[in-house]
Amino acid sequence: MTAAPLQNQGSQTLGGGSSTPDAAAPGIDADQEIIAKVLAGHKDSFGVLITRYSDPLYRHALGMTGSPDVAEDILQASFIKAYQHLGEVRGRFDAWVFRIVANSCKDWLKNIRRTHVSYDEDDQPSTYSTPEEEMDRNELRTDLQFALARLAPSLREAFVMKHVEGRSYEEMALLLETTVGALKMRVHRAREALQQLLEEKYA
Amino acid sequence: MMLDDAGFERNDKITGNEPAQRKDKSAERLYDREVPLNGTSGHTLLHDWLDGEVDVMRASEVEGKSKVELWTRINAESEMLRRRVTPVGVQQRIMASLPDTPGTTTSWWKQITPVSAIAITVALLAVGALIFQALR
Repeated sequence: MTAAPLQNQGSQTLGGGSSTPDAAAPGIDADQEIIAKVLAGHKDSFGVLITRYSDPLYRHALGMTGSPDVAEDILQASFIKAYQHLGEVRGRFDAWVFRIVANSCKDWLKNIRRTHVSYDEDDQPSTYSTPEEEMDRNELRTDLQFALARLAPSLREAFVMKHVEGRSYEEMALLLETTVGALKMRVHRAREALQQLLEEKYA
Repeated sequence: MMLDDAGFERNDKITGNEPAQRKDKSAERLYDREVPLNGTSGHTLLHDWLDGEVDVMRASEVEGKSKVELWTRINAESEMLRRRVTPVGVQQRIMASLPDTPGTTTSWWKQITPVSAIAITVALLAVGALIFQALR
């Protein structure tokens, strides 16, 4: 087991990024250039932004909703909305589009507080060596999703951003426009709630 | 009806009414609030370990092996989710569904020019004057 199980990955804010909010993020200027191209009529250039940011946004939507289908729909609707409002982007495109996705996810959770969630279209290769380990993994995955579904959207969001997306608190604060202290509190509360829900069976 | 993080209906903040009943009292009352409750959200070594600030041995000694093992498994599952990528074809589907031209401005008030603002004001004053005359 590593000492730091939740280290960040990547180099950009949406990619699981830099450790400080004011760190120079590569790609921001490039984003502005692409936006200018799109607004000038080069529609295909928007595909660069989709390619650049769809994976982290998809992971966020998947973590928040637990459904690959819903995550795809939210991703699609969010990019369309971003395209329709592209002229209103002020500042960082990645943070702006993240907030569109995050708000869509929270709206979805408000409307459908469902408890059934699954990653049934998981096409990731298994890293477990035996069928028993695979079964254990599936059981924990299901239980974890049930437990996540019981959290308030703001706690679920904080947990997903920290644990699933591997973001730093500073990045999260930048994207959610709140303080590091508030986010630490949310993550801690989410962990404690999940632990309470899962430890009877697993601990 | 949606409840906010403090457990109040949105309108209660305005009206000052008593907090509404929670939807799922057993689960949400404990987890939704930002402020610490007794015995929860205390600063523990488990959080320090999960935040990468202390090593696993130290966390295991203080918090107990079972908790650390549980979170090791949860982290392994989280790592799997972190590797998920956008399914094939979704990006193309998004591109195909985009309208022909991007929006530049959408808010109506952003589209009002000074000239149109003056014209609207003059028109409103004229209508007001006519109504005033008719009522006299």
